[in-house]
Amino acid sequence: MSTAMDEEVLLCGFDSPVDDSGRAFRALLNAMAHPGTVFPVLGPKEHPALLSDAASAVLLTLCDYATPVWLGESLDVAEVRSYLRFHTGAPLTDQPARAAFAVLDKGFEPLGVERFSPGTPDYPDRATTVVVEVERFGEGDLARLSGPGIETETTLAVTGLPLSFWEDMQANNAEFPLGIDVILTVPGELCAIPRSILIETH
Amino acid sequence: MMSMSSLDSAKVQSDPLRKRWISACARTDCRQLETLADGLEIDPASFDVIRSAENGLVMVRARAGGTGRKFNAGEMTVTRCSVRSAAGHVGHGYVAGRDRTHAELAARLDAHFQAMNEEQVAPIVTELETRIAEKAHSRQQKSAPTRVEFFTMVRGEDE
Repeated sequence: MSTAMDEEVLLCGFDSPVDDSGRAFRALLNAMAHPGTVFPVLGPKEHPALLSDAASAVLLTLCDYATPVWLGESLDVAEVRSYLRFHTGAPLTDQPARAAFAVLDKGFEPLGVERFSPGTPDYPDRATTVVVEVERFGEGDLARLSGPGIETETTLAVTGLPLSFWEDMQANNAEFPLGIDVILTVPGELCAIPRSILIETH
Repeated sequence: MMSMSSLDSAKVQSDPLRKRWISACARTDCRQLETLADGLEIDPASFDVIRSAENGLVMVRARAGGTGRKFNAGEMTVTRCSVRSAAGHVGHGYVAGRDRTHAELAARLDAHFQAMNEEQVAPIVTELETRIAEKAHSRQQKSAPTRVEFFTMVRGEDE
């Protein structure tokens, strides 16, 4: 008989998948409708060590068998892979351009906007949505955001962004209506920056 | 529709006894499983629910005559559940129908059996299988006398 030790231990997902993913979906809707504003989100009961509860909640809520997921280099480990495969059934891809969702670890590698799918003029919705793990909101690299969903303008400060993140997002915005949408996550919170947002840095 | 991850099925395939008990637990009715679980002193509270019991549809595929081309025979309702025991064993329950309690029991028993010795588990599994066979046999016995043989009757219109 096998012992527990030689088996990969699966982690628990949402306690109540319907209610919990509904709540997380509401947080995501609010975040997408109010770019640059930070919203709280409740995570699943357990999540992989490398993935924050907020990022786990986003993926468990949005991914299914029809959405290929691409994992950043440092996140591409057995624990994260089996967690997503088990709870969402999403296929994992090694080609970022084919991914519906991509996840980047907090770190200092560049975002690399051009490796993801920006969608097509006929189907701009087929773009990749990139979940970027960061350290915290409220301090760090400052940017002024304006555009749909923001009455005048809002400022967002983030620590732990990828290298030259704001410059990449400005280039991304220049391609509108094509381009990627970004969801920034820290433990317990998330904030969205859709492609439609104009960004000014100091 | 639900998909069984390759991870689960690979592990089950490599352990023939486990394959048998998963099948036996799925086919034994819920009350009997409850009695069995109580007898083994399985405490439901000691398990973490990895995936709470959920209903879904699976497409049953078949081959005509067992060798022909694959076709979709039809969908059936399935309930599944996955739990983790305090010792870290992951148990899966996939049962036909919509009985969540049945799926939870099957999952807990799967996790519990993995922690036991083969010699302890084998007789339990054999007993479950015997009961399933007996039940199928008695059902056949009951339905056999109701069989009607149809004959093509000559009605006279064909000259």
